[in-house]
Amino acid sequence: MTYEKMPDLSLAQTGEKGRKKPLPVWVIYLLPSLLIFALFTIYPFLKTVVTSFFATSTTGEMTKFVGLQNYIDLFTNANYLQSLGTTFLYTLLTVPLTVILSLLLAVLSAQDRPGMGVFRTIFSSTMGISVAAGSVFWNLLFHPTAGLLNQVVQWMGGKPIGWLTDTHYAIFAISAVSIWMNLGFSYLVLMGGLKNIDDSHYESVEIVGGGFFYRLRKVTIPLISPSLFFVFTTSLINAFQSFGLIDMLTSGGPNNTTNLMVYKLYQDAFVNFRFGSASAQGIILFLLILLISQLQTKLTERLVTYQ
Amino acid sequence: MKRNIGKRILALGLSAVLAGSLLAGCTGGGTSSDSASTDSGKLQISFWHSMSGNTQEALDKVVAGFNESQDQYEVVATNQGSYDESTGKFFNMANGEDSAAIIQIGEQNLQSMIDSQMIASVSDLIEKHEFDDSDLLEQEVNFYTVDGDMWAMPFNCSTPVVYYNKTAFEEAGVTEFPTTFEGIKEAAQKLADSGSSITPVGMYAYGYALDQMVINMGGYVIDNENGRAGRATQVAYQDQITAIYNWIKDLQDSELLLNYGSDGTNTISGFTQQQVGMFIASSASCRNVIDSSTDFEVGVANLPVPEGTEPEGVYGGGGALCIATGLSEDVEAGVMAFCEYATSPEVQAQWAVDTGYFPICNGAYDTETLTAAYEEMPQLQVAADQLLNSKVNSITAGPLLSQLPQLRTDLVTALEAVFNGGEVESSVQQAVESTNSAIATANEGVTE
Repeated sequence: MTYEKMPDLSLAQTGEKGRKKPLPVWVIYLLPSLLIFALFTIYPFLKTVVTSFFATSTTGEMTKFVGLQNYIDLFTNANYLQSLGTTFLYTLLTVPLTVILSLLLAVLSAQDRPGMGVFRTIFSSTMGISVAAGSVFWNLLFHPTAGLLNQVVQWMGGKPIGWLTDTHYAIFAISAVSIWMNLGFSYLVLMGGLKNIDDSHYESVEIVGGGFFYRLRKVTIPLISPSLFFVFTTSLINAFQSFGLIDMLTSGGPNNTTNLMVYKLYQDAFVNFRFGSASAQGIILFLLILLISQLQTKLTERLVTYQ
Repeated sequence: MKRNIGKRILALGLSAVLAGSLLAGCTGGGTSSDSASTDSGKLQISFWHSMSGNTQEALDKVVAGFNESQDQYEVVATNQGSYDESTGKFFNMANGEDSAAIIQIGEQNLQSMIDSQMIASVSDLIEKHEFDDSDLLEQEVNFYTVDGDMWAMPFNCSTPVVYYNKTAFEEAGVTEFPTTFEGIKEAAQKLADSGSSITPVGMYAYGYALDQMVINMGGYVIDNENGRAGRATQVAYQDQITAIYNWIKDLQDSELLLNYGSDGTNTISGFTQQQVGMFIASSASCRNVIDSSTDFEVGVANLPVPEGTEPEGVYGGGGALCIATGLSEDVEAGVMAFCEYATSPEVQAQWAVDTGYFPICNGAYDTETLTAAYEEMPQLQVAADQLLNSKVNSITAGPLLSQLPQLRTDLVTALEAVFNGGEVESSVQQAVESTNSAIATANEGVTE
């Protein structure tokens, strides 16, 4: 009843002050973030859309309308198509493995036993390492002649491997580093999900007499599915937007095999100053991420259970 | 309801404060650096550069020296990342309040800078401020001059050179280091046959070295005489690059070459740890390489050419100082005073000794500082001589192209393909196509 009365009350209030309806209070609360969002996200976005239809000068001024030419050029450019393919491959290599590994680590270290804190700290520690620092460290390990990895390979009797310089290995090496870097965050989120599961569920499993995998399949995964969904989605978007590792470790090489979309976009915009083409790449990337995250939401919606 | 209104006012107030402070952070937060005065009453001049590590220390020394030498101006030097990054930021600032008065560019940024119309003609300033430019190296002036106007003040000059492990090659019987493709292969074979554990040739794909090698072999990098006779429309390096890549492929097939991808730092550390016997890199690393190689003697040699080709020489690449347009008279005078100091013989000599760049004025070569250093480290002199002995013509004027970074990226990509067993012909063809389409796209946006 009280809820139904609410509109009447406010109407009476406005009646007293004059005809004007007051701004709903939520608008005021949202205003700061809306303002900032509009200024730093929506405006640049619209500007990018417009720029993508123009030829640009080196300073980014739009000098000549070219219609869809920037887009057509991209889709007929072998390098761009390769970079699209590489991005998909990289996503496929990193996202599932990151989620599976972090889930495994979270499940293994979820029980409260003495000394578990040490493992939890180690497993989540990569969160505290910046991409730049991590890259420098891995670059030393991957060094073709002086790197530790190749010393191990040689000690075991193998030939040194060009981890970042051989077209067959580079994308896998980068993916491995990426998984390592992202593990900490995924682990922490999943651990949070695990900690929220009520013990009574596990007690029920014990009464039924289920084992480890039964418990994982019937209780743990369904109950942390919202966390899993979150980790999966953010990892996916992160993978599509990967930049730092590439910039620090390979610069897109060897022979473009690690030239991911965002790195190519960056190169075209801020090294070669072809802003029109770079804007078109930005829009394509946006549409791609939009499409994939929608698709993913549709496909996995049924699998996510909220308590 | 009263409480509700109170909340609204509070929320409104808070959002105003938040939004206000955020916006303030964007516009007015930074300190104005291009024309502000310091507490000491000196006029501040903002100088963006791309020197890092020990070259940054050397540059800071130059700047500090200028600031102490007079009491009118204070140059504030800030590192803005690589040449390309710094140039991009400069464009974004649109010569606004916090932008640089002086910006250091690499030779690959020259055309973009001119196209931006955000830099002043240095020739005009030289005339206006009665700056004596007669002592500047003609090879340097040749590169930075377009249609009779010099657009950047030469400052830090470098060219790619060959670094080699003198000790190891001498032990293998190579006393005179060769400067031809064939000679290097022969020497590499000798080193390999001597039972040394060192891989004779280390190499990383380095775009600047590749286009300088094209010039040195007497070829134009791009059409319209390196973009000097008119805006370049396509690349022209095919013959020379094919020869260079064939040489590299041959070395690799003979198991004399180890590739470091496109990582110069790793190549240098591989060399200083005696894992490879030679490599090609900018002379700017010279001092660093010599100082890090404690167990052996470092030799420096000219860029190689195929046997029977007369080396044409190299263009005066490296870095130079661009000057923003729209500066106040005071700042402009300060900028020119700094240029005068920075290009003076003694300063250039010390700068050269500290880094491995070489002096851009003739006078520096006669200073005691430099002659003494060249006696102690003759390697430093090789790079300088390579430039000083270069012919001065439209080939060695060097490429003028806004897409020079793209051209180099494509050359690097092609070389990486060759490193990984790709065919030379098709790799070069891919690079040509990619660069040509980028040039076409960029030219479309040019308004003249």
